[in-house]
Amino acid sequence: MRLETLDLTLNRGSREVVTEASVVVEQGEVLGLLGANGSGKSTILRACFGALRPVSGQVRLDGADVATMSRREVARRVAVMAQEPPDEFGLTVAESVLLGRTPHRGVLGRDSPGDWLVVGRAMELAGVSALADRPVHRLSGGERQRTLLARAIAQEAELLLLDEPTNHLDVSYRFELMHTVAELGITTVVALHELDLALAYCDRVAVLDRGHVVALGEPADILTPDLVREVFGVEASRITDPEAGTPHLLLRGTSARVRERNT
Amino acid sequence: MTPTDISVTADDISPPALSRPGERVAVPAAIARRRWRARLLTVGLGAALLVVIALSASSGTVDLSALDAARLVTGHLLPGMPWMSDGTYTLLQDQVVWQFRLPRALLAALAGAALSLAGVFIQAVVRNPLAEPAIIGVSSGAGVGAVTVVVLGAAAVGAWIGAAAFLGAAVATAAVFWVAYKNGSIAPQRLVLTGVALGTFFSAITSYLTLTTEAQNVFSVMFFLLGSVSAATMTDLIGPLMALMVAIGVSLTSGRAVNALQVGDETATALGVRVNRLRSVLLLAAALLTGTVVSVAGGIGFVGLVVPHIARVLVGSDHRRIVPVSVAGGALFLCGADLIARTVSAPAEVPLGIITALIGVPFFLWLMRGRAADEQGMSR
Repeated sequence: MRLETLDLTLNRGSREVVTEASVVVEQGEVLGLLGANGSGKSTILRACFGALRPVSGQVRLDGADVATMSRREVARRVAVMAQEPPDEFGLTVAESVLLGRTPHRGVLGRDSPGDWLVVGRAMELAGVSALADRPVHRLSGGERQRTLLARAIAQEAELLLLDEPTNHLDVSYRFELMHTVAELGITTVVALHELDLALAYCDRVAVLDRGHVVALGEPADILTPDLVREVFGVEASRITDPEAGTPHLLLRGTSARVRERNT
Repeated sequence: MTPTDISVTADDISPPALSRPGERVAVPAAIARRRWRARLLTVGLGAALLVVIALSASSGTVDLSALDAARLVTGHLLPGMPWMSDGTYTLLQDQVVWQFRLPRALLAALAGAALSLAGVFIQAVVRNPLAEPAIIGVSSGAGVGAVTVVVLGAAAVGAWIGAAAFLGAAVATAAVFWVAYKNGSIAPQRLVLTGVALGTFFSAITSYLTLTTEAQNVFSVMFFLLGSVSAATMTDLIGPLMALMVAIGVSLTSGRAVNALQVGDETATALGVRVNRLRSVLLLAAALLTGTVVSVAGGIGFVGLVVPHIARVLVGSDHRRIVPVSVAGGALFLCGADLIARTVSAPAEVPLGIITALIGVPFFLWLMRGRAADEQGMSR
């Protein structure tokens, strides 16, 4: 699916948090949304699945305005893996993943064999098949995130929205999760904090600074020491992995500007 | 745990190959187990309910066997039964079964089923395990209506109390909606606080009316507030029965959406659920259930709180399993409690609420300490 945001302006309450953001995500692309806390990453994601109505501008899914689609229509096409997984007391992993089938419900909301087939595949892809019968509230953080990813996959959407999916995860889980997402081949927008993960797994990145899209392009072109200093207030160097040849950012600490502001 | 190497292509997750021949679709074991348990429990509880209703219809000062009672009931339902016209039973026996015991047993069962379902709905709406039908202030509103009628001296006409109670419940529901609805949504937190606050407000009015009325009225007031099915008639069953049918219809069509609502508004929205609409529908259904029961049976507490929890411990969190088990279990629980309430120290009657508490509380506490309860997150 192709996702477009056209001059998107979004409010939280009466405060404008995103200003005229225009981003296009092509079919099959993984786009990283980068920016400091409060820069509007989550807000843009919420608008992309119609949970937040824009003040002006549009979100288009394959050319169709999200505002004109029903909740269920959107849910059949867009899957969301939200920040801070809520308290899912009592649900087993399989039940939690089954929730992904909600927008596809059949007669009287019964589970069809097709539903279980999709749930089974989704659990395999996310690597939680072995946990199927475990209660979700007993899982580790990483297992829980993978369960949420399995649910998003079970939704069989054409667009995946991930809001900081790697928060609170062990290093290995971060890579594993991003690897799985990148391999799915679905159009994906992922809000990320770790710039290095963006360099490794995103086809393109959009950088947000106080609600404005200040840079958009391939991560290796965008994530320069200058931009990192400007947007994140951190001094950084670009280095190349001597073995793999991949680009990395070496973060050295807060920039002089930030230190000045804090004194 | 070691990270597994996952490498897949987009083809692997393309639409479900429903027609792929020979592929066995396995429902995960824990879910399959709970599903069977839910089915067996629903059927078992339903069968036990029939037995209790038969026992209830035969127990009391006029001596009859359960079989006699069943035959009398059948005779009223089906025409041409020989024992109805050949003098097998006296008019008194017939009346005591058909006009007193049966309506009473059925009302107890209906009230139990309706209040339990209302509890399931309310707990889903506010996502709070302490929630019960009374928390939305509907019962307190009904109380004001009923007590006003008693105080005005119109209590002699039984139907007036019911009508006034239902009116009070409706007013309370409208008030709770009106206050809790803000910025286009009913936030659970605001709803609970609104319900509790308005409930306190209504209770204050009830208390004032009770204290200032003549002493002879106080008994009628207490009788209503404590809840009782002892004065049941067949016409009393109509309201709760219709409400129950509507509510079961709601739960049949919204099972998956309610499951999604359990894990949060944002997630439910992302899963295609119209959260506010669903919440309003569930609330109205719960208010209707509670209002119709309270107007004929008074404020029966505890059932709506505890039966949904018991169901959850027994069959897990899926609403499509909780609803049938709660409805059947609630019906059996209250019907059984009423049978005990009127036989344990016959001819005196123990108030229904005392029996539900004395039996229900220990059972619930025992369940709550079990392993199944831990899996439902009760050990937090």
